[in-house]
Amino acid sequence: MMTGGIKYTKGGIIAVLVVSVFFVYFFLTHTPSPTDPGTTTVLRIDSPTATFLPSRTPPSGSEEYRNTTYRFSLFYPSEMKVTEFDEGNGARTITFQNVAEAKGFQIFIVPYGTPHVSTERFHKDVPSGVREEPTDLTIDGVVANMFFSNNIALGDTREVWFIKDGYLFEVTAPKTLNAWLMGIIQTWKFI
Amino acid sequence: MKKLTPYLLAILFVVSATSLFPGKALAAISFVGSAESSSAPNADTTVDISVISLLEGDLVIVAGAIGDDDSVNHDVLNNTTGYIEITDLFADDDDDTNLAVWYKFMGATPDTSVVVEGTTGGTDSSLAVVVMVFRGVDTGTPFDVTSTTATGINDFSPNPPSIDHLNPSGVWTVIAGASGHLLTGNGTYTFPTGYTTNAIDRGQDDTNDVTVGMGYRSSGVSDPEDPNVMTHSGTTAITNSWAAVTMVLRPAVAPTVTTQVTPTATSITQTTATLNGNITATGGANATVRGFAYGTVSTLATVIATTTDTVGAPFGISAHTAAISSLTCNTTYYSRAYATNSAGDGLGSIESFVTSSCVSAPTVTTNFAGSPTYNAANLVGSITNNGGADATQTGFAWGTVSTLSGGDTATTTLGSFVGTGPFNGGIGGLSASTIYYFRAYATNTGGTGYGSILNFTTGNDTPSRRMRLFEGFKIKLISGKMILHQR
Repeated sequence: MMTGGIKYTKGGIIAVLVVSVFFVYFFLTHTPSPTDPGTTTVLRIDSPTATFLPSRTPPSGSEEYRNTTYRFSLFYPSEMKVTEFDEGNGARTITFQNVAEAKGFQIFIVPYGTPHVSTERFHKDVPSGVREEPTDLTIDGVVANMFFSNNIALGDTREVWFIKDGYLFEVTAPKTLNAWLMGIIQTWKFI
Repeated sequence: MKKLTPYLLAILFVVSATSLFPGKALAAISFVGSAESSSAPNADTTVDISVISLLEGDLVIVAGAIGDDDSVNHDVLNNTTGYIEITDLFADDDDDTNLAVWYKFMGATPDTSVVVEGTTGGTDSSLAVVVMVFRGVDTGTPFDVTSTTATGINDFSPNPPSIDHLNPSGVWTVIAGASGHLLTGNGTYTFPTGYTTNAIDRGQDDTNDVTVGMGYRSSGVSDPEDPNVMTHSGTTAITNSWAAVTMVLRPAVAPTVTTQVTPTATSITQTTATLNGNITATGGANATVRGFAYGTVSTLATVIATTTDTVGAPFGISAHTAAISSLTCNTTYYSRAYATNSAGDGLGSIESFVTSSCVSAPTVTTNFAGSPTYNAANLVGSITNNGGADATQTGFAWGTVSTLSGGDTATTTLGSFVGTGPFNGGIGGLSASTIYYFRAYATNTGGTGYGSILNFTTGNDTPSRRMRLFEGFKIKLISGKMILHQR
């Protein structure tokens, strides 16, 4: 009994250590305290005469989505319907969805003044607090973090988050569309 | 004649252009008026000089005499503020003479009376005072030389002594004399030749009598000048005494004028400026005209124009300005102040100033704050006129103080801007639900132009994410495949 108890304790310690290492990594690299003075990111505002990278020719069966306010472009399947929602205070949601095939993703963009996502912000947008298998990737030169999460409406989700020019981008799709979403993410360009 | 006309016009123009100042009149002293008073025994006397039309700069000469028999040299006092004593004489006989003479230049508000103290003479004394006022006397050096004095006893006819003056043009001599005597009634004087015009005397009858008189000579003044005797009325008595003074008045000089140096001109624009000068001393006669000469030649040997200000003349010690126009931008101009009185022109130094650059500050408008969020905004402004040179810097001043002065006011620098048109820039790190004020600016070599101050209010917070994807559908996952059902 005693031996079993000792074995159980060692296993628990290992588990605690693994979780601790994960959270230390998580907070140090991605989610500093909201009070972290750190550096601030200034919202990028383009002049009325600002220039942008030219439009790209999408592959067959795709369209180019361009947004000169938030300065990005991506290719999406032609049959998808694109809808934009003004969320106020400079925030915007863009959905790409094909209801018939149950395919789609959304991009939520919100002004964000610091270079790291705070825990407060994370829980504000992800009330479930689920953040599994966080992995860094690069989107057109910008470091992003993707992870699996859960949403009360969508269920399990794939999330890709990054900060660019004072905006926080949150790309979300059902977890089952992970591979499909990654293919679209690869077409992302900042213009 | 037709062939000569252009040349005549040219000559007239040169004369006009090189005539630096208006014409001037000859300097001259003038008699303004006189007054008298007396008292006895042992009492002060007040001379009413309000009946004389006094002006600033007029010279008032007062002669006061006490007659008594105490053989004491009394200090005759003028109790009116500001008088300077020229002399205080004493002649001791059975009937003593105490004579004092004072002078004072009237200020902006001339006196209305002169009070001479008579109590110093004691019981049985008498006091008589005469006043003469002159205009156009040099305020800096009113007396050409030190006045000469004389006293005598066993006689009551004063004999003003000879005076050797410096003989400047236009001097006047003034004589004052007093007699202590015991004649019955008030005595009078018969003034010497050349001194009878406007001469004045005053006698006071008491136990001890006194007579005082004053006269002047305005022309034919010799050098040296010996005025001769002021003959007193009555029979000579050996118990009498007298005292006398001879003065030489120096005529006024031109005003002392300074051209303001720091700065020579104010309110300078590309084509206008305001010149500044001061009359620091009238020279004895107030100026009848004042102004400035200005031009682009450093010596002002030729001038563009001469301003003339006569409104409110005559001018005493005072500052004056003149607004000039039709200047050329970015040009050095020379100017000097002047003022003219009866004695001539007073000239200030020649000073210079430079008109504003031919490039003026850009004309800027503040347009609006675009899409303000809870912590950021896009500020938009425009250069509507570059003022003749492209902007070397543009940006916005912004902060929470409505005047954009002090507090947390900050300035953005967006860099240079070519031509005219809109420019904008983002500001971040703002506080939520806060009013921010801002205005656009642009700077070129001609200065900085500002737009008006506008304001915006930041949002209360950033919105949280809302799941818009498949909104209105119910999601089911069957065998790893997602199925959507309309809610």
